[in-house]
Amino acid sequence: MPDNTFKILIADDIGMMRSTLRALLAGYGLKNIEEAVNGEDALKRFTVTRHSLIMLDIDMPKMSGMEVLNEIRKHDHDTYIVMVSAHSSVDNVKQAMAQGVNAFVVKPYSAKKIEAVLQKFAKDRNISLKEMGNV
Amino acid sequence: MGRPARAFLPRTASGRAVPYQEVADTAESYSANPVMAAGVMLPHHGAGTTPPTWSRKARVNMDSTNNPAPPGTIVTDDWTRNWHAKIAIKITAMFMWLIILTAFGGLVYFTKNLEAEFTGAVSDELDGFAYNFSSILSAAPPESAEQTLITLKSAADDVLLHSHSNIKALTINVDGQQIHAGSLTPGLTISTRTATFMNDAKATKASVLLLEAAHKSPADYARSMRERLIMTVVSIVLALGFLLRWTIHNVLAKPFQVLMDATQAVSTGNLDLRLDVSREDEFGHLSRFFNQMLDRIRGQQQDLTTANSELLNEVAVRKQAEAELLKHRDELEHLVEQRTQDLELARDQALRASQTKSAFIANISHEIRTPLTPIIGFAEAMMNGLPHEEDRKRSLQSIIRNGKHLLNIINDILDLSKIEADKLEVERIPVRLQQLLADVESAVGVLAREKGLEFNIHYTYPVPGVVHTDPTRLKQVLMNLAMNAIKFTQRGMVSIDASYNPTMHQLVLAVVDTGIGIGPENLQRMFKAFSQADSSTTRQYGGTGLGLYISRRLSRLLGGDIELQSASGIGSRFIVSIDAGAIEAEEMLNASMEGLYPEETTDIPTTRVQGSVLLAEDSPDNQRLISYYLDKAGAEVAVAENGEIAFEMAMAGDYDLILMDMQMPVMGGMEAVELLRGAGYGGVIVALTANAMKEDRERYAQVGCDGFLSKPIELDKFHAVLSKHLKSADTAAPALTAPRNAELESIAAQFRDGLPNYIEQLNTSCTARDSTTTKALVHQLKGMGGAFGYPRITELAMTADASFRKALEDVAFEQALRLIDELNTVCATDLAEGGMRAGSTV
Repeated sequence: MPDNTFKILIADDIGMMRSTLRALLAGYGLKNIEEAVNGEDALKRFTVTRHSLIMLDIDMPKMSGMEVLNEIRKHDHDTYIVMVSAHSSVDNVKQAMAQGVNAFVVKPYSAKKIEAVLQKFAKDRNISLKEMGNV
Repeated sequence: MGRPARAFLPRTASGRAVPYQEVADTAESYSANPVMAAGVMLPHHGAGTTPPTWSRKARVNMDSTNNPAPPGTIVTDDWTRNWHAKIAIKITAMFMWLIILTAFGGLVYFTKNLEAEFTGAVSDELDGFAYNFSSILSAAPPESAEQTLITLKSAADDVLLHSHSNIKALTINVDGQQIHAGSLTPGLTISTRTATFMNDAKATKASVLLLEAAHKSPADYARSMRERLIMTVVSIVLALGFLLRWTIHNVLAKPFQVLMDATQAVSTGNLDLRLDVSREDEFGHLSRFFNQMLDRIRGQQQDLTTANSELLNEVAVRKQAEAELLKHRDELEHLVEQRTQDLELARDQALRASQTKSAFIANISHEIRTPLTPIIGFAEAMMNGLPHEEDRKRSLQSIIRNGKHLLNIINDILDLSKIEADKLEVERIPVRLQQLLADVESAVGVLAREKGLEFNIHYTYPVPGVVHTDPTRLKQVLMNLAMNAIKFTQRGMVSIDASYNPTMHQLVLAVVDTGIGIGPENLQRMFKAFSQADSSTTRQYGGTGLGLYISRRLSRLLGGDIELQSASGIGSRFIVSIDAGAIEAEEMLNASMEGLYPEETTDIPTTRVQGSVLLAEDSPDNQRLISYYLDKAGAEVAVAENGEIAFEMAMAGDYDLILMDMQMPVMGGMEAVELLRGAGYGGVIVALTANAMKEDRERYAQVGCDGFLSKPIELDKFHAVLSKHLKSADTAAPALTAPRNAELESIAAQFRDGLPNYIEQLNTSCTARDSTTTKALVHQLKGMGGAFGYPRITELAMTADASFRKALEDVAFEQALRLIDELNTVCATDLAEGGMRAGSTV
């Protein structure tokens, strides 16, 4: 890790959802968290910061999570993107996965689910979940 | 040919003219050749020449046609320079005709006046003579008349002698005196002249001189002259004719002959000869054209030869290819024949197999129908109502017994089909022998004792404490044999004798009974599928007739076999031997060590657990059964009827354990698990399947299953899985893995604080039946409730959300109202408790 921390972006138009996620992630020691209020904002912020992990809501104004995903995946395949959606339909998930989503979380999510996703992310980066909070 | 011989020699095969050279000397070296003698030059080996006598232009032309002229091109040279021969012949002919005509003209001319001229000449001569003689006479003195006559005579003789005249004899009459000169021969013509002269000077006396001359007659002269002229002209014409013939011979016939000879030589195939082209006449041209033609023919022939040899090569290649093709065809035919034979064999085998299968299915359906009859019969009887409790109980027992029998048959059939398909795999794991035999005893001992039989296990020590084999399959074999033994034994005992053969490394387990036994005539048939000692046995004792067959196959798979010793009426001894591997002496058990391994409890563990379980299972009965087991164990159960629903529920819900059936409609378990793991689902998933194959299990593990349970459910294993993955109810302390911090709690508090707002909005939208707003609100609540520790909110919101999505608005609004109730309850409780619930399930 060059700067020793994972930069994380939470993109959700509902403020409370952002706060919840931020709190949950903070619970694992993750601090370098940025928030985006819609898809466009998310893409703009990503272009500047190049986050390692993005929690991306699908239903957002201006630009949907799927659009943001497509934009990012055009050039970047390293960023770990977790789709967050209230729709758990198989087709939805399959489509997102086909377009390069690394994990999919359905709202409402429990801390356990977020943990599973973080576990997967940590495994992807070859470190343990515990280490992730400490780096 | 008089010129130095220059031969126009053939070109090289490539058609290129080689530099020309003088080959005059070759005339000698080939002079012996008859063709050569006719003026035809044969080629000098290897050295070609072009005729140097050709005009430069013509040679250039030749050079320019060194390469064979393209087809259709006419080879020419300069005709205007070569007209000599023609003119020569013409002039010669013309002159000849002139000479001939002149000669004849002259002949005619000269012969026409020949007689007159002759007569004139004679007459002139005679006039001269007459004058001369008269002169002599007149000059002579008259006194010498005598003398004068003599003089006359000699003059006449002299005239006759010296004159070239045609006068042969003369007679002079002078005054009666006659003088004769010459000789008179017959046939001569006599011409006469008279002259008068003065014989004195005073010319007083005149004398007359009569001259008679004998000469050739003019006709004779003319005839002889004519004859001579004709002779001369004929000679000249003949001479000219010879000259012409010579000319024609030299100019035409000889070269023509040369050409003829050459043509003949060419026609016999000699293309190497070339004509002398030094002549500048038509024959020179002809020879050149002839040579060119030969060149062309030769070139074409060479081309033809080349093409021919190419063709021959090609034909050879074709022939070879054809031969190869034939060979391949033969091979193919052979192969086809062989294949046909193979296929026939395979077909026969398939037909036999098909017949066997038909017989098998006929047998099976019979076997299945048999227990079904009492099951259906008793069930119907019960439905109609059996008044006595005893009858009802007996009916139920019958149904259960036959149901179990049916299950056995089906299990046997499945085993059989696996065996037949070579799909049955056996494990080799360490197995405690005494434990295994005890398991068998616990299962069948009861049956034996119920029948009043003794059931024992004997060990012939030392026996191995642990053997490496497949416990399930070995147990199956032993149970089968033991059950058979019990079935066919009315009194006495059934026992299993265990021993170890150290030399063969074989564990020997003999199942012994004191039953009806089998006659020697039936011993061989015993291990065949669908055969019992006789069909009456089936009626009396039941059974599929598959047990022994399967047992033997299993024993063989386990590295041994089954032997049968039996005597009718005395009993049977089925000796199972399996490969136990080499076992060290210290691993052997002696009698003193018996009981070292205490029997494990066979009680079904009834661990109480807590937690939520998602059961994905399509069969309603299995749903009910497994739900029942789960419920009994204390777990909360949610059911999904296929993989897709299970996936959506797992993604949306929060389960401690997913029991996933692998074979389901719409989406199978495998796919659902794969998808869940791909989406980052981290919970425990246990595969539920009737596929007990090892590779199946490996596949399930590969896609992300944490465990495996085989159907039908074995309760001990089922409970083991539950207690492994769910929290025990006894250790109730909630081991929370989720982090808790002040921030999260404050957010949860915010959520609670916002609830009255939600309630109000929902109330408004429901009253207004504004489905869009209601749906949005429900959706939001669905997403948040669970996360903040209110799963009931999520649950109710989910159902309402689902109803909205299914366009069941009435139901949805009804459910939304229930959600409002729940929200109210939560608010009220929270107010009452004033406590923190956030994180309790987060």
